[in-house]
Amino acid sequence: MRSSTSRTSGGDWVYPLSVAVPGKKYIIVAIQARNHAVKRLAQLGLLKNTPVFVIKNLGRGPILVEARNSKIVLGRGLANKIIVQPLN
Amino acid sequence: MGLFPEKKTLEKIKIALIGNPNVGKTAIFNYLTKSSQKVANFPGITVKGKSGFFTAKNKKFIVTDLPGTYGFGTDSPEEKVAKKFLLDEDLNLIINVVDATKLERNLILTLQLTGFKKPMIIVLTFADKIEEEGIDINYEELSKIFGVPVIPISALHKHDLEHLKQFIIQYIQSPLIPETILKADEILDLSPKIKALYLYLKNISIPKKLKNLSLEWLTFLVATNDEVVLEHFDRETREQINSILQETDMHLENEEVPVSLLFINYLYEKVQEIIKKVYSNKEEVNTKTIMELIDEVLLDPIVGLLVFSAVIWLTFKLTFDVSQPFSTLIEIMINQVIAMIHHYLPQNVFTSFLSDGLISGIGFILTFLPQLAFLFFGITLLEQTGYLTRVVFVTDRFLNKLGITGKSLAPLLLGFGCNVSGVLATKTIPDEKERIITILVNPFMSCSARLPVYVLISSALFPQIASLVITGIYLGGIMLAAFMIWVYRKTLFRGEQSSLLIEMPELTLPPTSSIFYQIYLYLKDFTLHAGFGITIGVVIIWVLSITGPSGYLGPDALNNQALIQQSWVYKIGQLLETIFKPMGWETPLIVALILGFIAKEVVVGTLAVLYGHGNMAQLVPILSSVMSPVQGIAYMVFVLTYTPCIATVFAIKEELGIKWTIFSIINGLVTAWFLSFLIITIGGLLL
Repeated sequence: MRSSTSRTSGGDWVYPLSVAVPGKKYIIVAIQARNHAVKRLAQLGLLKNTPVFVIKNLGRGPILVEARNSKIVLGRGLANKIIVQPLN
Repeated sequence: MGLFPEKKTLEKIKIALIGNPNVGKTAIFNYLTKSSQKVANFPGITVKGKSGFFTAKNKKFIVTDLPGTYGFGTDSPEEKVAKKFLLDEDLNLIINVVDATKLERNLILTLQLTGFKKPMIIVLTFADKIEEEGIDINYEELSKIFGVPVIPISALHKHDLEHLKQFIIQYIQSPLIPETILKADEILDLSPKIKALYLYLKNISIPKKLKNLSLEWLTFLVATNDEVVLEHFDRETREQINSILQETDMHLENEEVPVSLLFINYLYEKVQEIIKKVYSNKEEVNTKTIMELIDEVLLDPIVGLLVFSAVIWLTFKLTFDVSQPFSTLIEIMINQVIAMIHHYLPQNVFTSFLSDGLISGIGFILTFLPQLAFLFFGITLLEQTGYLTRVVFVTDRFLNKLGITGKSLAPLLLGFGCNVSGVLATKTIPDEKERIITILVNPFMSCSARLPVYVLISSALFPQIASLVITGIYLGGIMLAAFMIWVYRKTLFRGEQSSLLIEMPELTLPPTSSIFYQIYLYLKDFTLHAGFGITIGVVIIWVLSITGPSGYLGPDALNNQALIQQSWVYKIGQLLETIFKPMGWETPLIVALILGFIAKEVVVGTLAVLYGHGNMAQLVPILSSVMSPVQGIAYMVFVLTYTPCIATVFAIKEELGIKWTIFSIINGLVTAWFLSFLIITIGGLLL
């Protein structure tokens, strides 16, 4: 897991959404997916700098987040490609 | 002055309803158009638009409910439909339905709609909810910013809807066109490519249909390589555009941010500006609502699955047990009609055609409606309460192991009622590979038409454990489907599995009228698709049964065993006997299978005709004498697996085209033969 995290220039850890902790708020730092997926995410409101609140993440199966006031289900594969940073 | 008053031609007003999914568009549409609607191509999840109308003040207001869409940035089928409609139709009014509780994301579409420069109003639904959530929206300011009326409503309150309707009738007399919010200078700043494109478009002559659009918005649509828009330009212009953009769909890391993404980012920045001016959240609501507590249960990995299993069990119980008396009632009524026809009309070909052909065919369809009604009720309840998304969430993990996502679940479940509905339902699966797989395995979800066959053979050959055997067949079908999905993923459809990405709507209790209307649409869809094919099929059997190589046999052949053996139907069966030699099924059984291609329910009907008896009770002893238990199981497995009925074949062709349809047919036949053969062989070795 450590290998997939790194620090941003600001000094905070960043890591994929798939390892984010439920009950915490994050901000999207980057999306490392193909254009097609990035567009679909953008349509639903998930872009760089979007704050997201992780509702459910069980380590397996999809992830449930809340962003821009609506709940979104993301498959784990996609969640792996969304890099987030904790928001304080 | 004439004897008959002239019929006044009403002025036609074309209105489009557009908004995010789950905002309540359909509720508004239903209220405005009441019972005038044409049926959707696929009911439930609007993939193609549906339209209806209402009249007022000498005008006919034609309202089209477009598929729910989040914006115009991807090439999803819903977007294409909406875009095409907005460009092609000469619209008088766009009604943008916005969920007040999700203002930020909803306004992205609103911003994009301003680019069409058509008269518009913004309807804010869930206006009653925002107070509960401590949100305050300045409607006047929002209206000023967009330059069009903003109407807050609760889609559940009739008087709100009536007020909206009256507003529309008034407004149409002097409608307003939205402000230009997408400013040229801001857009030009986004990237040199966009600037170049904008300046190019500014200097050429714009095709007629696109003339109305604001140049900024047109630039966006062209920049995103939108086929629906680009097809209006001639080839030369398109080549020019291409060279300006030179955009390829490559991975983000390799090059600069693609234009479409720059635009979306820009749109969100603009929305943020607007939100700051109109939206304020007075308090952070921290206490969990009841719905959220329920969700904790439904989304729990273990409990959620248990709840789902219970729901499935209940639905199937309703579908197969509770519907029985209704089906029987319909069957009795149909038989009465047939008896009356035989009683009152002379015995001739025409009478036979009417009673044994046409009415029988229609009758078969009608006896299925109760079963389907209950199954569709279950599915509709899952869908409209929002529970289906919870199911998708808890089952996705397991479906992933096979190679599909939770989105395929509903189409597969529908297959248990009718494979036609199941196949059509796959329109909602975004990943093409997954969609094809779901369509191909749909026939293994044993549709209700095959149930009579299982019931007949199980009662005949396994009288004590009939229910158990039938359940086994169903489970076998599910396991076969799972296996086939896994195989397809490893062979024909290799590659990265697409990931789930859906919005989870709030759990709600939908109004009963909405549920029943939906069931009505499903049944109507089934009847139109399947009913036609089945009726034609039954008539064909009838023709093939009363004629033969030796000539016309007459309607008596249907009741006369000796005569029927001279019919075409029988001869075809004899020809195929060699293929089925190892199974040891005799000709009438084979004939029933062939005719079962037309419609699965025909299998039982054919057996009845060929064995010379009219109903199941009399067939049971006959069957137990012509088939051994092992042969019976092999037969049922064959019925489970082989080519789907004609109606389903047509549905597959509609969705996937000829190539896959042929594949599906051959796949079914080969798998069915192989599995039956396997069962006979294993049975022979064990016993």
